[in-house]
Amino acid sequence: MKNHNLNRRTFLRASGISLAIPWLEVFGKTAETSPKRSLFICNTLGFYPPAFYPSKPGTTYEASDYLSLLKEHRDDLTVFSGLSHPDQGGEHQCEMTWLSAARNPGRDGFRNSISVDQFAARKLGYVTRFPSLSLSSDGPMSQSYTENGVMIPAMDRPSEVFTKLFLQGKPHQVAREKEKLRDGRSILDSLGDQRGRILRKSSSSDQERLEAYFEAVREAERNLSEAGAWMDRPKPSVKSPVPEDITDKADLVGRIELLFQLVPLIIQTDSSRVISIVIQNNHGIPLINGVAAEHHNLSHHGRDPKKIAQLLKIESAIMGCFGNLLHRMKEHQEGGATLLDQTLTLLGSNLGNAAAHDPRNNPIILAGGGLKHGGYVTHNRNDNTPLGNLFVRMLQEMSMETDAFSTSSGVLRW
Amino acid sequence: MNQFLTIALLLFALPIYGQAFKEAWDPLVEASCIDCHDADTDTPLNLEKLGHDLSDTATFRQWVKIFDQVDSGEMPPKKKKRPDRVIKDKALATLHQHLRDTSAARQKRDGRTVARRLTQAEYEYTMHDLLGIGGDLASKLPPENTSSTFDTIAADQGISPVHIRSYLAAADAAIDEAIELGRKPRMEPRLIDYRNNFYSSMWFERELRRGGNTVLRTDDAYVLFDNRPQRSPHTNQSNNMGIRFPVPGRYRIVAEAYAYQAKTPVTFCLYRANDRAPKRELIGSWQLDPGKLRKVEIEHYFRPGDFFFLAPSDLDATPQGRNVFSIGAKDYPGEGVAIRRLTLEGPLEKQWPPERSRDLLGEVEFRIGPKGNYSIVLGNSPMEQIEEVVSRIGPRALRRPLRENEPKAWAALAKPVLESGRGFEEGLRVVLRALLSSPEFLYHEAAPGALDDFALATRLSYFLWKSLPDDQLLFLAAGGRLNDPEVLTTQVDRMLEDEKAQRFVEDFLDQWLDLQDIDATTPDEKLYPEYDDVLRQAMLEETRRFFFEMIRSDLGVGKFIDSDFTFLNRRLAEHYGIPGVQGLNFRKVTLPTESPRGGLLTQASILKVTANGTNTSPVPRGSFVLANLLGTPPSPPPTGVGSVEPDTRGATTIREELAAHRGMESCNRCHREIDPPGFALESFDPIGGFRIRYRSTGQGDRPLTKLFGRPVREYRMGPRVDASGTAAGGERFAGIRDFKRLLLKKEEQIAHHVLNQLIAYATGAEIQFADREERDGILEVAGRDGHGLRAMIHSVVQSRMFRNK
Repeated sequence: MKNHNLNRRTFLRASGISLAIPWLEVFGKTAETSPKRSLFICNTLGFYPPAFYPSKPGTTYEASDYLSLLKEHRDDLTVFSGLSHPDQGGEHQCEMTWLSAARNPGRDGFRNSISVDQFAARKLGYVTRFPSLSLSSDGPMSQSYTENGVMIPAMDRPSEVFTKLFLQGKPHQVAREKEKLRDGRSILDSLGDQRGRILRKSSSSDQERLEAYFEAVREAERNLSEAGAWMDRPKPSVKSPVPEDITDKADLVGRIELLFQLVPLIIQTDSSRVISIVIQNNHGIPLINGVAAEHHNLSHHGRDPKKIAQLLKIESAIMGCFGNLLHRMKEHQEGGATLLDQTLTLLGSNLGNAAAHDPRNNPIILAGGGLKHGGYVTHNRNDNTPLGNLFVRMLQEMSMETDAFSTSSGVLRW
Repeated sequence: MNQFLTIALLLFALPIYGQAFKEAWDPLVEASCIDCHDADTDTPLNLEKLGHDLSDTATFRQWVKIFDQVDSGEMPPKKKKRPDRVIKDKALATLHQHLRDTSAARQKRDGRTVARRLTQAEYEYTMHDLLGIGGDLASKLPPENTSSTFDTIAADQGISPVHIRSYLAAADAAIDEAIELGRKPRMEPRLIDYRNNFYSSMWFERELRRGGNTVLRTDDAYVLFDNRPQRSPHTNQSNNMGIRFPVPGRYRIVAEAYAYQAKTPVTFCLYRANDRAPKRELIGSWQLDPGKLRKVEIEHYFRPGDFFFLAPSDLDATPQGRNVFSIGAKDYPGEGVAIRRLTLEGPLEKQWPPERSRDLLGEVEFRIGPKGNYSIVLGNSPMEQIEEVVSRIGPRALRRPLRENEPKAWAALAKPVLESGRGFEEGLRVVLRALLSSPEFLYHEAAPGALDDFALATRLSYFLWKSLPDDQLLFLAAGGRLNDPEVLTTQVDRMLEDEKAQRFVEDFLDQWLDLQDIDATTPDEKLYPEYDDVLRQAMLEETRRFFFEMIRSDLGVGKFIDSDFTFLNRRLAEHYGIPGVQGLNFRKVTLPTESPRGGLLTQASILKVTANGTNTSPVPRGSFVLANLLGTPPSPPPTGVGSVEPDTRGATTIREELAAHRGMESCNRCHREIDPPGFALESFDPIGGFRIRYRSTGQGDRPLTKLFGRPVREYRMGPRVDASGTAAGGERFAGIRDFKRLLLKKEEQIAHHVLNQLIAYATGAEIQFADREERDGILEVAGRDGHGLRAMIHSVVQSRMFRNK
């Protein structure tokens, strides 16, 4: 559906907070047929369990400290306990496998496998300008991995993301970019041409490695060509101004908030249907009232009540950002549904108990996506259900035909 | 079933080759193994299913494990009946031969090392050396697989379209930096006058409660009191003084500074930072003694977007413990750093356009345009000039002579660009980007068998320099002389003398001893207020200098366990409580006899990377000793066990918590090995300070020591440290000094591990079964001279493993 309607209507009156032209008006689709998206948010330092989990399962649960911060969204989300990927370990090494569910991260010879966002992005291809977007609150580490276990660097500057997505660039810049892209393609072509000569003279084991290189060259070339096709179409413009990056790492909340504000824009403009956001590296003392130590140190609270009190403040602030995100996603309509209804929104962590680096019992909230919500669903805390089962469900909800992902053992239903 | 089919199936399942060792093993398996290792038991090894097909890599690896465990006597377990000696010996001998033959045959067919890709760090250094640039390129590439022992291990390296696109982009950025045709910038020294600058003036005048009055203007100087560089002191940032780095290059900063209102020495620091880059970089620190003006100078590579800033360290507070923020600079009586004069000079280029651009472009002329920009005037046709550049750069980049038609073939890529009228520079760019993304640039590959001289030059220079062979190595290779053992020895000595050898030291230690994780956690500011960037840098410096000294003076690996010397500056010496070291320059210091320091394990860098920011645990530290020093990594905990949750309230110690854990036999099996080294290291806090009592955020009494010239109020003194324990072999130790004596008995094992690490790192492949004999030979020879580190490096380079693919 390479349509020309889009061009006429690319000036989307979409802004972070205010009006939006619904997606279906642009594409002439209804909410039923408009695509589902996925959003994966990981807070790598966990959530203090007693403040996270309600005491009783079901729809009548009494909200925990954190959940009471999300009370206006209670009917739009489900809380899970007893989920985690099997065979995780190491200290913070399970960060890299949270989206891939690969076993034994960090052990000798470990190689990561494809992450669920990339799995989905591969299936979708370039139906959007970006098959996926990997964002981070700090630094290039993402949780997105290719099937060869190579990390896809995250973008951590909202202004850069915004520019990439929405700023057209001056004609000479666009021309230059296109030139670079063409150059890139012809370079990759020429490298591909060396394949025969290089492989002929190498040993069988080298051939295998070099084939992988040439395959990567071919795929990079395909990517550039798809990206090139998108370059010929104007970018959607949005009303909101370019976000001003917060360089002060201590302003954790500000930085998260800024990233989260991009999400509705990305979805409204259908720039990508798979987004992952990792909240990490929280260096510097967060600028939060009553917090006097770094986030990581507080996560190792050593059961010191004064530290736990500070940790609660930080995590509440992050939960607050998440609440704002859900709020914003509900403000915007796409067809008859809200953006949240169209987006499977996952918030969780790779650590169940950060103080002991325990990778089991991940705190998990799934919101939106048009699913049945409102309850607290418990799974066995001593013998966890694979978190991959939830990923499979999300993939299926995105209309992908798959009944397994990595270490999943089935599909999570509730 | 058809009889032939049965036979065929049998043959398929059991290659003839495996038959002999199956026959030799069956009796042993029946007698001693199968009870615990069959399909019905829950041990990970199932001998009924394993099979004997050694050509299968997983089966092969499993049999190597079996060989090692039976050979070392670890299996069958001590409690079980001893196997019959004759049966066991025969089984081991047969298996040994089969494993060795299989491994050797594979090496003969494929070589030991598969095609190895440049690592992130190697890519960066290579581009620097090739193009004369200095910028940060590594961060443009995907990170390496951290689960591999070394990122140089070819078999663990990944490649993906993300890599390919990153290479294109990184090469582009590198070429941008290499070809500099912009306006000639101002290069002469310029004064940065913080005192009279408009921006800083605002902060002299502004009230304290509005964020001002933290810096002071005196008659002759600009005085800093805020020693928290992590808070990015905007008043001291060069960019706020209107200083920009117009082009990438080396710049010189010269400062005249003195200690202000100081009774003890203070430290003056210079940082490089960039709003886009994640980290501030401490690029210089100097000690200022009371009453003396000091002129200091540093040269550093800066790029557009970078800025630098000034920060003090080592400042004593007022005796009442107040800092500048509670009093204001105007009335503050405590220590500070006064800057009297500061100049910036550069880019330090002898000519313009700079040398690196001229070197790359070759014999061309430059014409200055109306706006001051330069354009290239060619004597040849663009195509000829591009060929000329390729014929110069190509052999260095590809580390071999070019074939006759090669420059033409590469240059042909520029054709469409030139034809579309985009000119010489654009055409050259495309060609260079292709060259620098090509498989022969990015990979070290060679035919199985002995490396030719050029491949050997490549392996050698990437081992010790992490970069391209230089002219001398290429010259020797061209003359076919590098394979001469004496020439190799001379070259290794020469290369170790070269400054570039520090890249090896850094990269090897970053990975062998996990020093790359130094910033993985930040020490808690309340518990460890004395930690700062100056101390952090000193920690790394000590370990690097120590390691290099071991190479330089060919010291035995026993020194890794204990030594009577280390490398210190005042800052680190104070941290260690060692008197008499002045200034921030590092020097070799003989340790007092009663000092617990000496060797690697008691160096603050190691103690820091094995702790987290708040607390230490014997488990990661013990595990570090077993894995990184002794080469016997403990098996990871079974999943679903979790770990001990530390408690820093001051009521219980980690040892008490661990004791409960160790009560369980399933835990104790490994923890009796893991915990003892960690217990011995309990005497050291997360930043490597020696402690008799734990620091606590809760219970405890006030420390008697002073901090920054004032009483300590951040933390309290918790329970006493117990660093005693019982080693796995049953020997008791009272603390670290005792424990080192026990470790010293394992010198041979440590040498074995260090040698394995060097071989794996240098050759790009872990030790394989067929390598064992040669490795053991090297070890034996090294043992005669006390396992000298330099001698081991020489032996590695001379080995068959190093000189063959």
